Amino acid sequence: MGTTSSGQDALSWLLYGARSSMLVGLISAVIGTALSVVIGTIAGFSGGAVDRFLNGVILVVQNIPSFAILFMIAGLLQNANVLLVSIIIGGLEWTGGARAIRAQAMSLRGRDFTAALRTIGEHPLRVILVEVLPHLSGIISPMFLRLIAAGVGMQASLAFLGIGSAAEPSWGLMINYATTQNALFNGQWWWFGPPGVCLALIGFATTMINFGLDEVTNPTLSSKRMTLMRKFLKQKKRQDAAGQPKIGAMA
Amino acid sequence: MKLETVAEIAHRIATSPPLLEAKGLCVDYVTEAGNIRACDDINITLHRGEILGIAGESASGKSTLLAALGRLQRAPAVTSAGQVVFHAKGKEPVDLTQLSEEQLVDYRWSGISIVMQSAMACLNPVSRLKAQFLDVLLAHDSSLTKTTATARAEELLQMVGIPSHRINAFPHELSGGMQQRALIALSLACDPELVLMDEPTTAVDVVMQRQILAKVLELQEKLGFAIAFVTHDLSLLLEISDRIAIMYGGKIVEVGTAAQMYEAPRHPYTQGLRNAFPPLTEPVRKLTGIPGSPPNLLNLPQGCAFAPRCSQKIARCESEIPALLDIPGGRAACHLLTQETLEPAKEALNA
Amino acid sequence: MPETTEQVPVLEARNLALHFDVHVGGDRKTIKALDGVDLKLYAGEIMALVGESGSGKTTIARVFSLIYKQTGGEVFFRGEPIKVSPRHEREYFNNVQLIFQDPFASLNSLKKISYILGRVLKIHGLAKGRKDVRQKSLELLERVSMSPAEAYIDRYPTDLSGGQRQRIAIARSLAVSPSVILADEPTSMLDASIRLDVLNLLKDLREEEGMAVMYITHDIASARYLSDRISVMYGGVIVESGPTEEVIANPKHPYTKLLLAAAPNPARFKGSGVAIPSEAAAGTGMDNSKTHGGCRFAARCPAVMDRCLSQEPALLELGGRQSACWLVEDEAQAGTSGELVSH
Repeated sequence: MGTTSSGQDALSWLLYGARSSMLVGLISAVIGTALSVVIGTIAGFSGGAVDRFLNGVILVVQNIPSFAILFMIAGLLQNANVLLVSIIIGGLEWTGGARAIRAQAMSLRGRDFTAALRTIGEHPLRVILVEVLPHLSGIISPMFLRLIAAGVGMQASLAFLGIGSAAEPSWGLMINYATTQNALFNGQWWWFGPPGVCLALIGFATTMINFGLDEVTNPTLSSKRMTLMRKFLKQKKRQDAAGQPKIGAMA
Repeated sequence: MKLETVAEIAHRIATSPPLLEAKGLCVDYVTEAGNIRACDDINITLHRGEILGIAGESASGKSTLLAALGRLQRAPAVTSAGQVVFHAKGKEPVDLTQLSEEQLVDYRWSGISIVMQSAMACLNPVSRLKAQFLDVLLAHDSSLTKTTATARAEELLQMVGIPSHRINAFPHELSGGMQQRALIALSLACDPELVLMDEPTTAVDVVMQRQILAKVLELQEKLGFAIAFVTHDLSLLLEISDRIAIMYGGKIVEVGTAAQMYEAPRHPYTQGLRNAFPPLTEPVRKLTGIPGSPPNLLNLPQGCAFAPRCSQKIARCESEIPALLDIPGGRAACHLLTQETLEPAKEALNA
Repeated sequence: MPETTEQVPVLEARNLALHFDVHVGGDRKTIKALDGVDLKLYAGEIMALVGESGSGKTTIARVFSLIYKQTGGEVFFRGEPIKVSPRHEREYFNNVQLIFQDPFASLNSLKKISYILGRVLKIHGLAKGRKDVRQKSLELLERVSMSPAEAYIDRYPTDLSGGQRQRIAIARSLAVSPSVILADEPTSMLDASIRLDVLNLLKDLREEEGMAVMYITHDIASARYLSDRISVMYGGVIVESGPTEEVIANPKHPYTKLLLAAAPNPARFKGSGVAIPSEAAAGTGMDNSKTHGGCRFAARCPAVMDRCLSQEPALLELGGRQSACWLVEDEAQAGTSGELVSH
């Protein structure tokens, strides 16, 4: 691919950078999903004071300007490692998912089967974890995938701004160095271009997986159905044009 | 309200010209699992000013049929064969299935209108009734001004028993029964010749249902429109319909007058369905429903769709689909009727 | 038919009230879902609770199944006040079970039937070990006529029809061998031809196991088919009650007469020459936030008198029948004497 101003191989940077970027993306997604599932489910399902309190927590954290916090943390912790960055990102990104899960849990709470489970003596915690949680898998998986892309993106932004380990290569760091070394003006497209494209590709890939999940979970949106419909109508047109009798078989 | 005798009703139907004819109508649902035939070879004629009841249970195809009659079916439902001939007053008979959307506009609402099950799903919740009525009236009659249209809308509301000042209300401000009546008023806005009703009173209570139906029947007698009334409640249809068509597994299995259906239903399914409604005035005795479950349209049996649940089936029923044949007093699709006279059916009733 | 002269009713409500405060467009209104209800259910009897939506019939079922808590009055089980603590709750549900209206919502669609039935058995220690649980689950399925049970046990609720799901729900309730079943509109969402099977099943359970059934419905015809006694509710109170056949044949309260006139009756088919009574076609809707002190039904009553608008009638007991109506009381006083049951 080419070298950076300091003579390092851009391709190697790209490949090594992939590792830390993806790791942060994955770990932050796991942390974020776990937090939103736990808090969202308990809030939505419990109702009352517990729900009000947790809902308050969700709203407060959601409205914290994340970048400002990250800056402050960067000031305090030089050279934060992968795990720390993941925790920070996950700890700030979980709120959107928590609200969605809370809403779903609330609607499930109103459904008869949860009341019925109470009448047969099922323990409330077991009801939440074993009976209700599987219904939420439909929104948890796309949420998780989205968080991966978001995590990768955030880590890149952080690295670009200088937060995170200066020693570990990552895409964001690559772009950071490229910017500080004026790669754009020097026409060194191989330095900042590839990492940018890779970030975009991760986002694209996770969105595509989500689309695929939608096809399975939501049949009405199925593109297969629309193709079938088009085929059927085309066939019918051909039949009508060929002058086949329109009146159906009269026994 | 006039009380007719059985003979008067039969005479009225026989002398009334046809209004809507379904000929060989087939409606399919296009899915990944295959093409599901929701309505198969429907042949029925609705006469001018007639009240036709269409009864059936899950997977009978009754709602699909109603939508197809009004060209209102939505994907994945598709009319795959057949004709729906509409004899509009002063116009040539026309096959609705062949018309384009622009051509259909001439017939929508002024020819055929529809009342659906849930008023809250049909009325726009963020728009006042006035706006919704004006929308419809002005779209179909260019000679109306806003003032005259408003006057007409108020007249329509009064016709169904809603005070005219409620025209400025939002749908959610009305009670459930009133919403349903507003929907009926809306369906009558352009003086239709046929009103399709899909379970219009299922969502309301029995007392409200009676009030709404009394109003509908009063208006029907006054204005003379025909009604195609779809519901699962056969006991209700027996009270209000001139004729009733029973659907099962996507086909019509019996057609007859209300009297016929009550006193001597021919098809075993109709007999079972009629017996499924406990009496209010006759002595209570043990009744049984029909064993088994409604058919799976993806996996219909070889012969008659009702055969697996039928207590009177013969060998022929399992291999050959019975055709809808004319019999005295109506039509029925049952092998038992081609072989013997009506006696076996009467015996089955008294058993 | 069992004796209804059991001393202690298995379920009882005394002066039960449930008031909700709601804000409707800026005004604060009190919705009186239940406003002083006295109800007794005796062991081994089938009692129907009939009314429109908003009458309070479902609310009573929810209070008896501890889903709602009453704001006034008391509920008793076998003469003892019902305590709402986790320990007592378990014991209560061992005896009182609820069947829900919507068979598509009352079973967890993501779990197999074997799991759904197995959980009840395991929680209540009714079966131990996988084989025993499976065996007892199959027996439960047979009891509700889901035969052959083997064909159904490993299916998911979504594979079954509404009627079958409702029978699974009943099977689940039967696992604990309850003495009371509260059936909240169990057939209103089912196809007409399978409703009778579910109703016959409830009747058989009473015959075979001596279970008491509270059958809540808006359909008076099915209430007549199934029940021994019937109570008609309107606007949060009981307006008439008594043995089913007598109430249906000879209704006393104007609202009961209205219900019977309005219900679809196939014998009145078009062409039979029988007209539908005109009072069935008139009137407005129910309003549970009524504040004037008179009879709740006064606004719709075809026989309303001045007294009805200012004084609420008490439930008058007359020869085993109860009705809350000034007209009935007047007629009673003119004829035989009756005792007033204080409200």
